[in-house]
Amino acid sequence: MEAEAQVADLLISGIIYGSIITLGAIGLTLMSDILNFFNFAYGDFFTLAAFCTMAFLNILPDMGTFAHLSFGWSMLIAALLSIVITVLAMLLFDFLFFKRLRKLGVTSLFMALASLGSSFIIRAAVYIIWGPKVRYYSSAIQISRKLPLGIRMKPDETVILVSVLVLVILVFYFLKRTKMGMAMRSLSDNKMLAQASGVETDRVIMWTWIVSGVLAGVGGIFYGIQVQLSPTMGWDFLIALFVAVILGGVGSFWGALIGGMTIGISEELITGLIQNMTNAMAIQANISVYKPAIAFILVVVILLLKPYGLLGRKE
Amino acid sequence: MSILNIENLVAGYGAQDVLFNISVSIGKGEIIAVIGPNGAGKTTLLKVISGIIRPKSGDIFYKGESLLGRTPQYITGRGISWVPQDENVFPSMTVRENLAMGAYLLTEDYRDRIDEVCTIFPQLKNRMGQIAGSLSGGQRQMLAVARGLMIHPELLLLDEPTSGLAPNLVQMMLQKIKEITTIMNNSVLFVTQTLDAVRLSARGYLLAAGMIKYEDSTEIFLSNREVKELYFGG
Repeated sequence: MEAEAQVADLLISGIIYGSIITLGAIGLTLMSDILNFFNFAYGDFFTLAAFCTMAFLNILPDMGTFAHLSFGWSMLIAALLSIVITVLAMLLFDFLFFKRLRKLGVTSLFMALASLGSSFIIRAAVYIIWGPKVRYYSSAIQISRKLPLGIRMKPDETVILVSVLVLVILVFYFLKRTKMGMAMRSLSDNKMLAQASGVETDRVIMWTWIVSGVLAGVGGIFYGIQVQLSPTMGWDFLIALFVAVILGGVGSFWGALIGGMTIGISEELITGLIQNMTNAMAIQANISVYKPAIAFILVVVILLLKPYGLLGRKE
Repeated sequence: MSILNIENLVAGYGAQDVLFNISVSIGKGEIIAVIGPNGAGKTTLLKVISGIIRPKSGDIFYKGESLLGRTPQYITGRGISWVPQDENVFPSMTVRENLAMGAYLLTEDYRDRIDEVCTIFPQLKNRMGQIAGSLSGGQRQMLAVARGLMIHPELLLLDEPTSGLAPNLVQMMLQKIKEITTIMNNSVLFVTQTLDAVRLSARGYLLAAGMIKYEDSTEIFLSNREVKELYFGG
């Protein structure tokens, strides 16, 4: 029973972690498909969102907490402001760097290198403004609550899960049912035909940054709730995002979702089980540092079987 | 009255010129054929008219207005619709979504327009939810032309609309093109290597090595021995 409870706890942790990865993977796969390059700065926008939220929390008056949660209205206001700042920051970087490079017609490799430079800029800015110390939104310790079927979740985790579900549904609805969403999908499917149909590329690119920025903003805030805030938190998280996108197939919305959840659950479950085994054998080892290895092994295995990812398409 | 007048057009890709001093005119309601060997510049001509490629010199007048410097979006909005030869649908999107994209610039509800276009291509009616990439070659070609019609074009640019089709489908597609001009009273400029397609047109242009070598009414065009031997096997 105890073993089953441990597995259930690991599974829940994996689902929570996977849901945050899913947000980032959807944003990253959108950018990769429409903007045609892997944005190495994307993880650092998560960091920016997390630190901006902390900064606003320090400024805003204490408005208490919602029942059983570690946060209240001040967190919601801080979060909204941070999401706006994250989106504006991404649009600013596009205006300053990526748009100019697009007009010059540079290759995807150069765009990716430019994003790498952008990631250093953002990380340096976070270091300078907030310093290298790790921080937390709240020092309060949350107790897991028992839910039906023996599941135990912290109240904050419930909010994260429900919020991610709502956001994923909203993004799916936006891409599938709105005119701009259709324009974004058409541009990724057949750029020349989309332009000949009347799609304005610059507007679609702007909306791609906006949608990806919202996902990065929310993802960064949720990630900050789950882990310590540090200037490298987003950069470290980027590996999981990339692997999730590649696993699911670049450009695939559902692939990003499946990839994100697969990486999240497998990392937590496998490292957790190995950690339990090593503890039982009195072996001193911190297995959690090997989480990225789990993700890489998984993606190599999947790509050997499906070279374009689970739901990717052959270009 | 001409709906399209191309005057002394020079265009190409980078430093490589592909079209040299091309002049073409299309009247309202006319079907014009442009034939020529591979690499003659036929597709380039259509890309220049639709704004995908900018000309280096010369001009293009559409209903008296110069299209120089205009974006593809503007040109499509003015009533010129281009149907490419290859990659002419959105393969990951459904048939309905492809048609909706054809009506992207339409201000009215596109659903009525789908019904109108499906009177010409009824085969698409039962496939609205099907992913375009899973259609057969003939169905995909129909969808491509149907997509091009969604915007109520006054000028339809068709790049080898019968390419890769089985002979019976070639005849069907040519019949559809004739139907389109009859029902919608639009002009058609199509690039082709099919004799039957040329017979559909009022006038023909022979394009080779980026230059207009010959132009005339279809009847005289087809009676030209050199044209027949070179491009239609006598």
